[in-house]
Amino acid sequence: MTHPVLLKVEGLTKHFGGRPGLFRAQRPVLRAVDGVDLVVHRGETLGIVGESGCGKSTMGRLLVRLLDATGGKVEFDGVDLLSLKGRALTAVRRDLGMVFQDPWASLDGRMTVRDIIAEPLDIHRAATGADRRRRVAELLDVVGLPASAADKHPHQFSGGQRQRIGIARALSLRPRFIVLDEAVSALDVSVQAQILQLLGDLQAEFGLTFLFISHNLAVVRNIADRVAVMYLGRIVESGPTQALFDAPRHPYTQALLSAIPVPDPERPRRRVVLKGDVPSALAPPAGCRFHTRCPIAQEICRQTPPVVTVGPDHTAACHFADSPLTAS
Amino acid sequence: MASSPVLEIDGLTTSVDGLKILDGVSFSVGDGEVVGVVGESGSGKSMTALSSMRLLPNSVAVTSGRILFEGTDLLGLSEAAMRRIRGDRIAMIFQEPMSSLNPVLTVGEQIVETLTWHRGMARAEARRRAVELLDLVEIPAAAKRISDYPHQLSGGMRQRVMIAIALACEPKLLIADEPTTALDVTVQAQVLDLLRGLRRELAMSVMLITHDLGVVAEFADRVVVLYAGRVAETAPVKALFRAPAHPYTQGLLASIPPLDGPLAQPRPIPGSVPALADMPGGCRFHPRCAVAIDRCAVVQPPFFPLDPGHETACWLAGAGGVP
Repeated sequence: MTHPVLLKVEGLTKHFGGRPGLFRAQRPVLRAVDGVDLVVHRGETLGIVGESGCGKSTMGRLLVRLLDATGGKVEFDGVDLLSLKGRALTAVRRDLGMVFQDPWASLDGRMTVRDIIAEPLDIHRAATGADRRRRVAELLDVVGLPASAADKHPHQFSGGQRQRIGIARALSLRPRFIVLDEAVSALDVSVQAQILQLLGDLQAEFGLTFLFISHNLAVVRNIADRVAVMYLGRIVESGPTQALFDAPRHPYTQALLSAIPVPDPERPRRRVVLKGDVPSALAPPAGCRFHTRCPIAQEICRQTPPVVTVGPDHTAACHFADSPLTAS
Repeated sequence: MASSPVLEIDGLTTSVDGLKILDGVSFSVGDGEVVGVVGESGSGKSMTALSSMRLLPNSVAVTSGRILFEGTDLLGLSEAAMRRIRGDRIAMIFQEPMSSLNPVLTVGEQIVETLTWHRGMARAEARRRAVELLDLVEIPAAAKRISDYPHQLSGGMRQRVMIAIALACEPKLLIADEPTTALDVTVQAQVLDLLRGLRRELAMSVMLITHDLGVVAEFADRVVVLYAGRVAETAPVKALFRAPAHPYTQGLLASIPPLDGPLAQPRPIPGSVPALADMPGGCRFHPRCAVAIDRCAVVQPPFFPLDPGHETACWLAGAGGVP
């Protein structure tokens, strides 16, 4: 990728709890995001995949400053994002958008579509009166909704249409970077493809940069230029989408890919079925966090795993990423 | 499917406030067969499952049709007779195990309850059997886990408990409504493996309700595709994926982004599933169908047989040319 870097993340952590609670001297620390490094290039889509509890949503929220990080550094277009306060933070927020998973829960049912879409404009005093109306009409057009939608309420729309409203709202301040957190997961598959198409068109038209968080690897393969796989608060593998899907190097990525049911009954499957559940982020295992479920774990895996580079831009945090032991 | 079917749904029609939710749904589940019932939200797949268990909400009425289980019409049974069948000969597992398990009873209690009620087992014996069942669904340290409450278990473990309860009386028919939808994909793989093994071991018939065509491809013998309360297509699983006949089935398959192979842009079906209050006339899919002809808007298509076990409700299939 020759595009310049838009977002550079180093050692990002978010720990919940730890401070004294009301009835307890010290609450246990939940390490939701625990040392994440990544880079997002201008105009690309970085896919973040992982199972529930891996920290992918928390990370997305940290990157748009909906949550405050515990540690680490985020550089957005050269600006130190995490240290911003007050007016400087408000200014940079216009560049950061977010689309949520559930279009039923994330839109206020008592507001008209116009007010929902224009709320960011109101907050940032970006447009009023005729300007505001024009901008809302523009945004509705961009996401493929009729102008008449503006005076209706969310409940009058289907799931896919509501997600279009959520996207229009996220676009209202012309952000440069948008976090899409499971943005198509609640939609039926036939509608899901409509929204994916829309996102592709919008990215091309406005030069947007996306962080696309999803548990659905097939969807991510389709939309992302590069992919990062998270497990228990850390990135275990990242690389260009095709390289990662064609030749996954981390045993977790391999298991994740092989576990997905494929809509083809005649294709023989070689499945790596993992034992057990994801350990709690309150007490992550020492060493490689995946070693408790890993089919090829060795003694060395109880120590901290190094980041092994396996190709240009392709990294896997596994001691055996380059060895024939991996089941690829 | 040599012997007579275990379950035969025949012309099932249900309605709410005079609006038809299911409109003449017919299909059968053979002995030892896994039938996948697929469709998007609003297709009526869960409604079909609940009808078969006689668990429909009071607002929904069955207006016509029959549901024959081993030859008996379940719709004609008294509530008392149905209660003896439910959980015994026909069992059901739901999508969200946390909301279907009782949070104030230990998982052991919940299995024991089923066994004492249906089988008249003594508590000590039922408890022994409960441990066996938790073992069967591969819950580690079953003898200890039996005293756990649902909230102490992970999502995957809870779904295993649900399966153990469902299997307690060795049902003839298991109705699984989105059994793995709430689970992470690595845990889903575990639970699907488990279900596959168990149905072979116990020679159960399964009605698998799901929106996930991948799950259907891996688990079902035969598939029923529902759209807006009607059956669009029925086919053996291989035939459905190899040669989908109904434009809706074709659209559904084309809208799934592929996991490997060449990157094909998924092709969405335009529009969305119609609301109950304004169902289109004729074929309910025609407003979204790329190949619809005039007749589709007016006359509801009957079923056209294509191959043995494969039929579809589409005028174009009947006209000879599979669209």
